[in-house]
Amino acid sequence: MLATYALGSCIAVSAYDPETRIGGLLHFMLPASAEDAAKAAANPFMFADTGLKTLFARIAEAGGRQDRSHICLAGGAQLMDHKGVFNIGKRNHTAARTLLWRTGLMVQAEAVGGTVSRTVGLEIASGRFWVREGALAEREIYRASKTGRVNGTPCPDC
Amino acid sequence: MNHTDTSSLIASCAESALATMFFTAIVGPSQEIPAEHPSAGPGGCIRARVRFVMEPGGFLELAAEPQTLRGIASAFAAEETDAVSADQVEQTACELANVICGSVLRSAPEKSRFKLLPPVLVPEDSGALPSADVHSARLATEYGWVQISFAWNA
Amino acid sequence: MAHRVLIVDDSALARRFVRRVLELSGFEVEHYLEAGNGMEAIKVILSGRVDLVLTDINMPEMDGEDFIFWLNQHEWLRRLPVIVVSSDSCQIRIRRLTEIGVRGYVAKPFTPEVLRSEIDRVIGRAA
Repeated sequence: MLATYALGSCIAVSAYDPETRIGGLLHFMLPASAEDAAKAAANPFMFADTGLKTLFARIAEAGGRQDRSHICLAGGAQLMDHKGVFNIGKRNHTAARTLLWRTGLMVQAEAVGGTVSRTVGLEIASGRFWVREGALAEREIYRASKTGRVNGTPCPDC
Repeated sequence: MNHTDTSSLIASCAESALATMFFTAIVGPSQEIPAEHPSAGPGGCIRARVRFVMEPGGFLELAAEPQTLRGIASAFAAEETDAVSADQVEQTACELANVICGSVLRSAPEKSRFKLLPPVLVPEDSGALPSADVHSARLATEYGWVQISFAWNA
Repeated sequence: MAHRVLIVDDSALARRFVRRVLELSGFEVEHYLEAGNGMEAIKVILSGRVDLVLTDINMPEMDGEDFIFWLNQHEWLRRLPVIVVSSDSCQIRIRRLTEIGVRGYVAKPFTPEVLRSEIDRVIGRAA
């Protein structure tokens, strides 16, 4: 299982190809690598654009397909400690959605906004994506399956 | 509804429209600004107006610089910025004005029966807005400022 | 079943947005048809099979409401699923259109996922 913790204004992007059971989980802090090219080169996962690009490259290297990936989002909360950047939770969410839209990927489920910190996980064996919000219990918000087309790709089992 | 409430409502509806359907982030606080002709840079300004029929009726006008609308259009259409045509830039102004107007009317406490008319482009030099009671907000988007003005007919 | 989908909106860019949502949503679409107003939409309907209509309301020449009333006047078209996709969400109008058979309503602004869900609800996933 892949998990990432204490998502405040950051966004987690889960991508899972149910055909190959290849998946990845990205946790990024800021919308655009143009804000700091040096930091992006050192740590591409810090930014939405370089982070998503690297995530899908790693999935492809492992044998998964971007266009077959089921995408889930979590995070983007408005917290008191916003690192001095205006509206950073919403901006991160918009950045993720925009990049996915431009790439041709739909979001299957999301748990975003509000003021709570979140912990999320992706179970590789089952394609289950779960979220734990604040002190609440873990809840499943999506389970990827092979039956059903996403992102316009042909469904092998339909 | 008082002046500040209306300007806040406009800003909120515009921010929601830009983020959800036009994939454009707001990068600074919105400003309630005096009702005035939108000021633009050397590239000029595109203005799109939507009239609505209601008791009373009114209009909403959107103004932005062309390069701002080009950025918004590229996100909306999922195209590269330099692939966006001038016609698509104007359509984006019109559609965005249309969407924000519908959102404001849906949210306003005075809402009742209303009908939106198709949006139109307004010549940049057409002068001041045709109403004495205009509420305006200027939003800082990631592509530049967008100014929204809203008025009920007298 | 692969659908023939008619998208009606006076904004070509808005039609393109709706089409992209359909393309990315995985619905089986055999053919996309487009119209810029109610009159053009009627011509498309009369010229061939249409399985789903997604229409705006405020358009020039003939608006979406009049187009939907025209559909309702023809028995053979009453079962055609229609989803309104519009910034105009006056409750009185929505009620009136629902009474004459409009099956779905998506208010602009909407996310692609909201439109996908509404289309899913109205026509279900194609096999």
